[in-house]
Amino acid sequence: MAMRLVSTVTVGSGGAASIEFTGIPQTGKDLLVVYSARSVSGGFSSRVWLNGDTTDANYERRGLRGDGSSVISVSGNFAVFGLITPSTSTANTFGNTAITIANYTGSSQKSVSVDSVTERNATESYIEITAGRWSNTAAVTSLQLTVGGDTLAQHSTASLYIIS
Amino acid sequence: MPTPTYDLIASNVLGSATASVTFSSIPATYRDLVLVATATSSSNDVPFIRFNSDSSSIYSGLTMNGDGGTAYSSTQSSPFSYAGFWNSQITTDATLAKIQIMDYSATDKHKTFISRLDQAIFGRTAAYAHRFGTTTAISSLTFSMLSGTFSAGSSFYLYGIVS
Repeated sequence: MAMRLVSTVTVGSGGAASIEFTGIPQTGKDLLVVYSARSVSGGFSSRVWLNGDTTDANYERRGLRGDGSSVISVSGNFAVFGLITPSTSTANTFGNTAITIANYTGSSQKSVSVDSVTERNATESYIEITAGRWSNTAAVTSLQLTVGGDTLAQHSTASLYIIS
Repeated sequence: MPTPTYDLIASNVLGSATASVTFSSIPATYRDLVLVATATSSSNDVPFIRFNSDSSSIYSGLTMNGDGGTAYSSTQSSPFSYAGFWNSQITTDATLAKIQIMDYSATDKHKTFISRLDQAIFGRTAAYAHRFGTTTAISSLTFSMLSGTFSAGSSFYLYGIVS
């Protein structure tokens, strides 16, 4: 019983439209995805699709975001779980995000917890925590990470762990 | 390089409505504890945690919350007899809780724990910092509702983080 690395994906030269984990083992209790990402253009919203479901209406989020001087709360019917550092940010900085999906093999709707930062020691640095939900009772078997309307930059990386 | 790992100490997926979930005889051999729970309840009341069945007023804490429109922070004016989590919609909005209890077996410090409680639909996302104001090592943990019961299907997993 352990926290076990299932797979790590690193984006190569030229970038990638998405990072995808398929065939997720069903032997765990909780799922943890940790990623470090930057976009090629100005995209900064981390979109996470489960089991290929790209219908925003099936996802929900409530977030709390601080920028070093103020804090706001955000919500919406879409699968934006975390932040990605945009290309306009300081060179070589990548946003970091950890997503937990509890009881991912269970038969209830899936609750998601997200911690995310895009720190660059300047303005437009953010920390965000998010509550998420996927309104589907299926076990999670695949997960796709994209950046809204943009491409993931080279050196972006994501690791999938199962905790069992 | 050594690889830190989680060990599943115990789990409980409720087959029927239950007032509280207790993990007892927790081994003292880990560095930290992590409780991951997904729960709904019969009552929109406060879920709370107690250690070692200790109901004396030695639990204190503070929180920051966002409900999709407003962000705010609050603290307890005086210690409570439990470590509670603000909650308004647990009957309809499954709550995901991640609670990390640091250095739980130490006998020379008060126990601090950091929690995240997430309700994506009607509720809020929240972060908590709590203190269990005693130097006694933690050997048991009880998760309860102030009123009502946890619903069938609610899941509770207790992990130990290997030193």
